[in-house]
Formats: sequence, structure tokens, C-alpha cells
Amino acid sequence: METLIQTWQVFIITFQGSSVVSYVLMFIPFVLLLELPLYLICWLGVFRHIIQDCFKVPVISPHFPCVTCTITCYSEGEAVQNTVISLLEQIYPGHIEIIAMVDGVKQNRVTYDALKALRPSLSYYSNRSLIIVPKFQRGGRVSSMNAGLSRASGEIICALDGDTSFDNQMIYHAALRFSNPNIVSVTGPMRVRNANKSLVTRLQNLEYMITMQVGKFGLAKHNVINNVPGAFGIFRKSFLQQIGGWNTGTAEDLDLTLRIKQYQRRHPELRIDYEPGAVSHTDVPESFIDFFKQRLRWDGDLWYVYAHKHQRGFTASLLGWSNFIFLLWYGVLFQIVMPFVIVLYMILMIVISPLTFFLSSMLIIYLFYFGLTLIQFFLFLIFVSDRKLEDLSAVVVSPFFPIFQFFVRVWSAVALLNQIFNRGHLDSAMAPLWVLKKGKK
Amino acid sequence: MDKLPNSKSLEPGYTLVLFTEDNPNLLAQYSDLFRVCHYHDFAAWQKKRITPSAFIVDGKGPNYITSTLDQIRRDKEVFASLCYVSGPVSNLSNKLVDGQLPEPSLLQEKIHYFSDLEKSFKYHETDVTHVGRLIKYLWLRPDFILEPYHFWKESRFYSYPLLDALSYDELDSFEWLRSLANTKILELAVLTDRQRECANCRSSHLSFIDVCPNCHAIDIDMKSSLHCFTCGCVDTQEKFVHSGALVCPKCSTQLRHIGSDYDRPIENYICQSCHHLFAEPDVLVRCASCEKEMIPDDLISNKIYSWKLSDRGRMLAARGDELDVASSFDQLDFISRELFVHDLDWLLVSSRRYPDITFSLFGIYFVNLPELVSQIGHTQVLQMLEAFAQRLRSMLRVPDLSTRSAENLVWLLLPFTNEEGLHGFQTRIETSLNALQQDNELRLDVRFVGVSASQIHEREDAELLLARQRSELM
Repeated sequence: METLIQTWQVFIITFQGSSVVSYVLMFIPFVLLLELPLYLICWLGVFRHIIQDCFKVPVISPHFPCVTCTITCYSEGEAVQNTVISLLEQIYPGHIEIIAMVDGVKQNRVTYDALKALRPSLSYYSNRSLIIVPKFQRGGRVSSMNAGLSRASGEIICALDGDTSFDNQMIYHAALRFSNPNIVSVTGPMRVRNANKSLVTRLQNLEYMITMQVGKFGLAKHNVINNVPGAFGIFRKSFLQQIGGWNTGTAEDLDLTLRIKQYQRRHPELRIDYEPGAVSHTDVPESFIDFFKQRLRWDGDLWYVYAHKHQRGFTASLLGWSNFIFLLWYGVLFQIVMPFVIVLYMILMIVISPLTFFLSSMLIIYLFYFGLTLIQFFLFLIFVSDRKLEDLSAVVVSPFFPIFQFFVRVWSAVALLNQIFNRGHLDSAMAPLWVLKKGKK
Repeated sequence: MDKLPNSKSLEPGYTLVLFTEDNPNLLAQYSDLFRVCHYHDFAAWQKKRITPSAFIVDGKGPNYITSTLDQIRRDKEVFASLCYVSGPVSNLSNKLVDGQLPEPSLLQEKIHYFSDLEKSFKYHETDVTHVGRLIKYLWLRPDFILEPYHFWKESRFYSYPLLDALSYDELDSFEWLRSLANTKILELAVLTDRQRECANCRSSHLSFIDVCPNCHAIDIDMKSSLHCFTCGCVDTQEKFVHSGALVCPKCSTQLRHIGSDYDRPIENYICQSCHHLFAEPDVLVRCASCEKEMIPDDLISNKIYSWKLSDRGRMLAARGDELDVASSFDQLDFISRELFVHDLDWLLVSSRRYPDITFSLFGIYFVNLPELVSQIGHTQVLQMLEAFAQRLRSMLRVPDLSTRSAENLVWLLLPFTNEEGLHGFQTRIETSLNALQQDNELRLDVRFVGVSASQIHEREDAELLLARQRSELM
């Protein structure tokens, strides 16, 4: 109790005294140099889009190319039907070819049977076809997606996950983007389908809104999108075939994004775009254990891709300056360096500063991030959200969000260390080990 | 056209009649064993009416073969004759013919067997009735299966050409078959098909029409419809589509995701005349022959079977009259089953009231009659049974009653016979049966069961007792 009172006093004194400037300066390396400008850039991109949108004459393309949706299925079971039905339901006059690859069909019989059960309902939809590809030898996600690519007959190919479903205008909006011949890939907002399941899904829901939806939206406007997610990526098939499809190894989505970006210097007109109307809904881990397992893989893969796979490609002569600077800033400093800085800074503070001072600093940091979260959330709600009423309920967990983010950052450092010293990318559920081993070390 | 008997053949026993359009030398190699006559058509044969051992029909046109065969089967005398063909035949002819022409020696063998059967045929109503003709035809072909002939132009799809020919088209085959089955002359062989027939004219040419369940109009269409979760509105999809998006026409909510904003109700049809939305149309049946309309439940289900001659039919053929196996026991003066049951009940009640009244019930079951008939023939089996019945009769006393509840199951009611007496009775029967057939290789397999009043449960009545005893026998 005494400590808490002292903390409060220190907190008051800090804001009353003259040391406030030097105190705030302590955060400058984190906040001012790394985080705030990034958020600012994202929001500038979003506003740029909104303003442009206001003046844009709506275009209805008379061309509706054939779209192939390849779905990588594994152990989704009957849930895979939702994905296929949401694709059959698309309001799109063109042909939609759905190719569902069931990896390791022997162990995933339920998924395969669920897909087969959908065949009769296909007759209710015109211009839709369903191909089910049972893969007897399990080869992992990449092998499934490449198999889908080789069978695809559409001009546009959507690489989708078996546990993701879509709004019925997703393909219409996405296909419209491709009427610009320079667009090679499009992604869209990913919404959390099971947001109300638990605290951790609610927190992830908020995270998806603020960082994923706003972040990707804004960055795409500057043509520096960080990643086209594997669960929801839409590509021009000819381009995808030209660059050889997906590469083996984990984080194939980030790998592909980087490989597309490596054309930027030679072909600066090529773009990866973001379509706010192409909405997907996905399931996120429902327990903290599953969540941290997922992040261990995701964050570890960052190191694997940046430091191992694309060591040589990490140059402005390939990526172009804007993408190079952005990757250095976001990819390396923000995603890889900062988790370690935060952890070290934390340890340093605990060691050198008195407890009361440490706690009051934590309080200040918390309040700062809480404020930042609220601002971003309401900006999102007003300008970006397409389901405002539904999204409003996410504000309930916003007080926990800064704490959640802190632990995510700390865990990110653990994941990076696991990858660096333990080669964590070989411990992935995305493909069998013998496939992962074939990837670049 | 009549060809004289071949002078080379030493002793041609059988005559063959060949119907051929242009190949009179077809039977050249048969002339050693047979006397061969050939005719251009059935009418030519009718002038002389030589009764052959077998007819051989040869022709290129399927109509020639079919009509010749049909005429043979319709003839009052030679309808049951062996008929062979010398080439491929139509499905219809196949139902009237005995197969492809065999080698001379084999043909001789077949004819020999055939005439043996003909000699043993004793049913003399043959020339008078349709049934007689059918029984004769089937008797002469022991393994014959009467198969239906499928032809799409037939109003019932199936017909029995042989039955039509033997009845001179005077009877409806299906009706006739039913009566033949009822009189147990024919029995079922295989269920070939089951079809629906018009309740009015029994035609199978039916068309099924989907109609609106509300107004019965036929102008219905498949239309996808949607169900808005917000306001519950159900309407056709086109009402929801507004500039490339789905918007509910009632509450104006934008419907983005199936399962969370909207779903597809099972009402997938719309009636163009009353605009009723429905999940499943009603089905009406229209008969193509009489043009009557009905609902599918009104249709008559008709089972199409293949048939064969029953034991009773064979018995009729062999005995020449209506006697059947158990009728050899007629000398036992059977009473009706109902009376037997009544008397048994009376005795049961009496014996319970007056302990000095006692009786026994005795059952005799012939296990292997059908097998024996097929092995040694009807006549011998009947002789065996008659001999047995004679012995049995000598053992029965005047008040003893007898009946039979099945063709091979005889019951005896022995008043004032106790357990001991019953045992003695059974021993006597067994001894006499053994004495009767000690020389025979194939024996009549007979099972006995006996029960006396003291062994009968208090609550048992006659029907129950008979059923229990019967199950012990089987």
C-alpha cells in the first residue's frame, strides 16, 4: 500500500516538476522515432484513400474475369463448408472456380467428406465450379497452394485458408482492382470471426482492427504493404506463375511478398494493393497458450525470412528506396530490434531505478498507450470500420490492450531467440519436417 | 413341299418339321437319325398336319420366326411341341422357343426325354382348358421358368407371350397368373421388377409433373431465395440485389456474409401463376394412355415375377386329377380343421374337469415329400403314401379323429389314450413304417410328435397346443 502511495506521489511530482522534459526524453527512442511516425504514416495513407474515394467516379467494370479460389484444407473438418459456401455465395457475375486441396486426405477424412457433401448444392449456383483435390501424401501448405496454382484456370487466383470465410462482395471488389494492369496482388481486411469467444480473442480482434486493418490499409497506399497474408491473398495468376508460385519453407506469405517487392526497382509501376471492400473473416486462437504458440511461429519466421532467406535481397537496388527504408524501419527495427530493446530497457529500469519510480513510469507508459489505443480505435471506427455498431463493442477490452501488447512484444523477443538459437522454423505445423528441411537454411 | 423319308436312314424314329424361307437343306446332317419334312410356312404345314417330334424354325426375318412360333404355340394339338431355331432370335421369340437347334445326337436325346415326359402326362383336360395347356407345356419342360417379356410399346411394359398364345388372347396374363397362383398351380420363381401402373387403365406409361402445391399450376420455376436475419424477410434473390450488393428489401440492411447476416431458406421454387414460394413441388401423375391425372399414392404397384410349375401343378400333370400328396390319406376320413380344433378344445376342458377322461394328440409330419417326388417321381411317392395310410388306418379306432393342417402334416386325436397308450401307438406306427420301406433305398422321412392330456399345461387351448406341437415337428 505504501509503495502504491509513493508511486502516486512520484507520478504527481514528475508531472509538476521540471524534470518532465528529460523524463519524456527517455521515451524518445521508442516512441518518437519508431512508433508514432509509423502510425502517422499509416493514418496518412488511410486518409489519402478516403479523400481520393470521395472524388472518385464509381466505375463498374464490364469485365468479370474468371477467378480461381484455391483453398488449402487440412484438419478444418466441417468448418471448411463455411468457406466454400461463402465463396459460392459471392455476388459476382463471372465464373468462380473453387479448388479445395485436402492435404493428407487419409488423416483428414472428415474434411474431405465435408467438401464432397457440398457437391449437390453446387447446382443451385450458376457460374460456380468446385474441384476437390485429395492429396494423399501430406506436403504442407506451400505444396497445396502450388498444386492449386497449377490447376487454376482463372485470371485471378485467391489463395485462401480453409478456416476463413468471406463477405459476398469480396471477389467483386478484389477483381475490380485487377482492372488496373499494374496491380499484381491484393489483400483486404481480415476480421476476427470468433471475437466473442474469450478475452484473448477479443484482444486479438482489437489488434486486428488497429494494426492489421489500419496498418495494411495505410501502408498499401504508399505501396509499402508489409505482408500479403497467406490466409487471404489475391494474385494475378500470370504474375504469380512468372515468379514461380510459392517457395517452400515457413512464412511463405512473407517470402512471396518480399519476392514481389524485389521487382520494385526494375518495375516501380507494380503494386500490391489493399481493397477495404474485400472482407474476410477468420478464426483466431481461443486460448492464451494457442495464441502464444501461434506468435512463436509468426515472430520467429520473421527472423527466418529476413535473416536467412532474403539476406541478399535486402537491398535498395532490388527493393527500391522506399520499400528498403520501410523494411529496415518496420521489418528490422520495429519488429526485430524493438522487442529486445523493450526487454533490456525494462531490466535496466528495474535494476537502476527505485521501485516507486519504476512503477510510476509503467503507469505513465500504460496511460500513454491506452490513450493511443483509444485514439486509433475511434479513428478506425469512424473512418475505416464497415460494421461500426458491431465493432464498437471491442472498446470494452481497450484498457487491457496496452498490457496485452506489452506481453506480445516480450514474447516476440522470446520467439526471435527461439528461431535464432533453436531454428524454430523447423518446428511448424504448416508442413511435415521433411518438406521444411528442403527449404533454404 | 413334303419331303419323303430319307431312304438311307435305317430306322428313323422321329420326325422333324422344318419351317424355312430359303434353306431347305439346313437339316441335311440330321437325315440319318430323323425323318425331315420342310415347309415354307405354317399354313403349308396345316394342310398335312404331320405331327413331328420337334419343329425347327429357320428364317432371316425376325417376324417370320416370331409369327411361326406363335402359330405353333396357338395350335390346338402341337402347342407344347419342342421348337428349335437355327440362328439368333428376337427377345420375344426367345420366350416361345426351346433354344438353339442341338447336334443330331443331342436332339435325339432331348426328344426321347420329352416323349417320356409326355407319356407320363395324365391331365386330360389339356385339350379343353387354357390351364390344361399351360400345365402340359410346363410339365414337358421340368426346369422351365415362365419369364415376362419387356417391350416399351406394351401399355404395361411387360407381357407373357406364352400365356397369350396358350390362352388365345382370351385372358389377361396378369389376371390369369394371379388365379394360377391362388390355385397353387404356379409358384413364384424370381421377382423381376416392380412398377407403378395407372389406377384407371393399368398402363405403365406415366408422366410425372411438378406442380405448385398451392394452386396446382404447372408453371413453376426454380428461384433462389434469401432470408434476412435482421427482419426475417424471405423473398427471391433478385429482390435483394441492389447495385451489386445484397440489401434487404424490407429493412434495408446490407447482407454481407452468409450465416451471420442471411441464409438460404429451403423454399427454392416459385409459382409463376400465384407467386407462392415453396420448398417442394407437389407431384401429379398423368397417364399417357387414358390421360387421367392422379397423385402418385393412387398408383397401383405391380410386381412382375417369373413363375414356375408348383408341386401341385406337377401333381396334377402326373396324376391326371385334382389329387395331391395328402389326398392319399383320404381313406382316413379327415374332418375339417375347425371341427378338429373344436373337439380338441372340448376334450381339453373335459379332461380338466373330469380327471378320468384322458386323450392324446398325435402329429405326423412328412419332411421330404418334394425331394422324394423329384427323385423317384410322383407315382411312386403316392404309392408309398397310400401304403402307409392303409397301415395307419388299420391302427386307428372308430372314435379316433384325424385332420391335416398342411399338405404334409396330419393330426390324430385319440380319445381315452393315456401316455402309455400313446407310446405304444407310436411304436406300432414306427415299426410298420420301417417294415413298409425296408427294401427302399430312398425312404419317406416321417417325424412324429405325441402328447397326452396329463402333459398339457392348464392354460393351453387347442390352437396353442397345435402350434407348440407343430414347432416341435419342424
